Amino acid sequence: MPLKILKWLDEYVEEVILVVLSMTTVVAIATQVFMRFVLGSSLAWSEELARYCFIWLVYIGISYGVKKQRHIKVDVTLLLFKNKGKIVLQMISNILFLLFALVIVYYGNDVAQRILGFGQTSPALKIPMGYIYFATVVGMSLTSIRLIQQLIKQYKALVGKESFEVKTEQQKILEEIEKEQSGSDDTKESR
Amino acid sequence: MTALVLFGSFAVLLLLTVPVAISLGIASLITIIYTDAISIDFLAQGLITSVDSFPLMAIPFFILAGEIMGKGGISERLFNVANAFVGNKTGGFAIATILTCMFFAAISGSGPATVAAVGAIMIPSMVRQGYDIKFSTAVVAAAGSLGVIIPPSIPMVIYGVVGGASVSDMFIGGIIPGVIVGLGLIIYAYLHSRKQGYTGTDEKTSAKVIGAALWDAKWALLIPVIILGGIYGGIFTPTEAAVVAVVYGLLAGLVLYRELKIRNLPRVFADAALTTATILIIVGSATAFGRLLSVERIPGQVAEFMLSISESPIVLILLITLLLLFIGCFMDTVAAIIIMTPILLPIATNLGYDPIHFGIIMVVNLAIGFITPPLGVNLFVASGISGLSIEQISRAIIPFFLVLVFTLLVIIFIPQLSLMIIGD
Amino acid sequence: GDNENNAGNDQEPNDTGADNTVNEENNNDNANETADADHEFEEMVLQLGHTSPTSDDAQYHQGALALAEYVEDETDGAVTIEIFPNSELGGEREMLESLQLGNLDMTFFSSGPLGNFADMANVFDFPFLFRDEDHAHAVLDGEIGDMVNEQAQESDIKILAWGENGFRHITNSERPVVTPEDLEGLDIRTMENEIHLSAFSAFGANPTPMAFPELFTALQTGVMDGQENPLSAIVPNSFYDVQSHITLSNHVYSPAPFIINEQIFNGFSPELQEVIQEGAYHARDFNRQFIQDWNEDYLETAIENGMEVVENDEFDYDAYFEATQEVYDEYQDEYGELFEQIQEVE
Ligand code: NA
Ligand code: NA
Repeated sequence: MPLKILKWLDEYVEEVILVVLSMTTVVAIATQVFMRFVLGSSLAWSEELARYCFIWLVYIGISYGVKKQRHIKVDVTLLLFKNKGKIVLQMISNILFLLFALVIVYYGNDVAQRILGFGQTSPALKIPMGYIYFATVVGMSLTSIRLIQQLIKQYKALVGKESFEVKTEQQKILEEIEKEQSGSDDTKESR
Repeated sequence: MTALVLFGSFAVLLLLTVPVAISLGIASLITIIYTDAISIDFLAQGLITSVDSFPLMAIPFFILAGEIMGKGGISERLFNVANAFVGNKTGGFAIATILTCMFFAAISGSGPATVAAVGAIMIPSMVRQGYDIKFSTAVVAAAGSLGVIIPPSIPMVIYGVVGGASVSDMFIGGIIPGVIVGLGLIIYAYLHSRKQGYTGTDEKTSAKVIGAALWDAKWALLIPVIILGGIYGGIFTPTEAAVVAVVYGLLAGLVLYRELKIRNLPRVFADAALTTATILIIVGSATAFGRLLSVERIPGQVAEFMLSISESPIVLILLITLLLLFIGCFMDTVAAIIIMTPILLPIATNLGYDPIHFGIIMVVNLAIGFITPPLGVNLFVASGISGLSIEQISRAIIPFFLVLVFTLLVIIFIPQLSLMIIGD
Repeated sequence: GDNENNAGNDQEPNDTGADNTVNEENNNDNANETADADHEFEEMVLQLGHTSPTSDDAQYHQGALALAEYVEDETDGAVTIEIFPNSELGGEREMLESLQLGNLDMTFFSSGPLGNFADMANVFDFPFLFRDEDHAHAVLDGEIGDMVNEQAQESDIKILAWGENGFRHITNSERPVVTPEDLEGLDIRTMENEIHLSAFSAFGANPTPMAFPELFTALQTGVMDGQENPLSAIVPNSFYDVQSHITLSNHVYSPAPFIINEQIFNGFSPELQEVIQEGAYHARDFNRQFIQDWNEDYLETAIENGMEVVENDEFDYDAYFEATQEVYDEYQDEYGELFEQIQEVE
């Protein structure tokens, strides 16, 4: 049972949070526009709620971006390497990313704890600002887990136990279009 | 020396294929440790405060609106409108394709999304009409750049926030340059078609056909009216306009066209959030990077260096143009704007450029990067649709590249094109 | 924070460094040779951040310079204040947080975000609280200013002195605003501050919070009909280009405190503490004079650019004051005692 839960979390945790957060922002701002435009009376809290959901959305989205290998990078160097070389390069890149994520978890936590301790609140909703600052801590912790998962896969691929494909931007796009044309439900690249 | 540490480590990290955002963050970290200029806390804090911005929230909503509208069979309807006008003329299908991209660009904020939405239908149609497949693919890839030049535009939102300019003004300023770029592409497509003998269909242009096509596309054509009319008419801010477009798109897709399914919505929302996050993390980590730049007075030094090369504003703006074209070959449009704006905007202001005009120049310039290898996302999407290799498309796209550069120069040297309808 | 301004500026910051070192050596020699009358200050650089550009009409920058010059003079160049203008180290709330975290020593800014850190500071946001500038100065320089400071110090924020942005006024693009009825149906942008929002609702307007960088365009396109700010924000940001009417309503006073991290301040020698404290008083007085002088220029500029002015004596103060009472009633439990104390100050 707990294993099932873990598996479900592994599959969907970011997606569920992201959907809830982005729907909340849409509803908050749509309500604000309706109130001002139709009823002529603006809300004080809607913009703030939307902004704070947005901050959390960004940092949870970073973890999802690692899972989906969608972070924006300059991938010309990849073209110089063959399969194993690509994997090694990606492992180096992931280790550096992991180090950065851990630094941010450490310093972000320090900043968030202290701001929570000072006790200041947001202007409209009176949410302790520290909770907003925990977005980096939670987001970068999830990101670290995703990076470690990927590093393990890449290591296994390197020693030949599993397959792991390092894709360039071009390969990713081509695959998505293939999927799209074969009628799958996946949505397309949209940068 | 500080500049060397900052930019040197950044370049090395990029070459190691570390994501742009993380490269910015680590380069800042290294520089902070090296110079002790600011505390590491600034990095952690800036990751939150820089994203805490209402204007930036336009990004996920314009992505969402584009995704939702892109699903609902809109490109066909837009093409039918364009085709009703020009389909029977020489090069009619190529021109209609470019016009469709222009319509779609007024709904979507992204270049590759425009290529994907329009190309899937238009490339096969053009080939069936007897057009060369390389030319057909190149037309769509090039016209897809309009996705970010004609508002709404995600790079314009980013430029507005990073450069402290009004996003509304950027959108309004982009309308005429977008039309100019579209016209440039249309003229080339026409001349090429005449040379190749690409004729139009046999159908006659009639008010009835045009009217029917317009009526069929009415829900789609309303979106630019809502977004741009709403912003220009003082009803919405850009972020609000984006949300209205999402709500409208949901209504149109679920109720009016019934081509959108509720079970697909979570995936659409999650995907838009994902794209947003990959852009916004760059904004976040670029804050510490930018702060280091300004504390170390690097933009001033870059300006001084540039001015030591030449005092002529024309020479300097051409140098900046070349630099941006070069960067656009390797780097994502949005990432390039986030990194280059704090460095180049002070120089441009110094040379007497209006920040809105310079923003339009940057966006058009980096939009050309969508079709320049090795990283040319529009080329990738177009090649995916047509099955051609990047090399095959690249050759066909050279004339389009030259047209885009020419229109860029027109936009640079006639500031009124970007500024006249902003007014005061 | 309401005086944000994005104008680029290339002016070099306060140039410290080599010159000062030389001066200081000379001064130290002198000190050693003559008497011990002069205290010898430990060499240090304090970082001060603010949000305005470095131009002559930017009150934060000029106020910060006044403080920096005073401190440098009094310490014979040993203690310098390095100024980071233009939000280089972040916006106002962000700087306040950095200051608490010990990453920024000082800041000079509008009191806007202060209430989120020390809620007693919110009392200054109530409309028509002060009779005039003198009343405001007497309250802030007296016991009540000290009480707010004590509360802020619990969060490591020490208020050295209370400068100002001056009184806030109403502008709009529709009509002369004299009575509360004139505000009816107008979308007025306010800060994200519940008291300001309540006040403008009570006045009959539709107050809408919006980020300052968006404001100019919102006024230009008509998303907002009006806004309210001190002249020191209205004129340098060219709101006269997009607003046709200004009412000198003096409806809220906007203080601008000089702030230092309390722990850092407590670590100073008593002599340096005195210099910094006196410097802040000096800069405060400079700033108040600066605002008074510039307000005349600002208003002239606004008129030259076509703004129609409703003077303070034409403004229907009584009707607005009456409308305000419901806001006071709403917050009576929280701030009632403070309201009374403030009114008692002469
Ligand atoms: Na667009
Ligand atoms: Na490129």
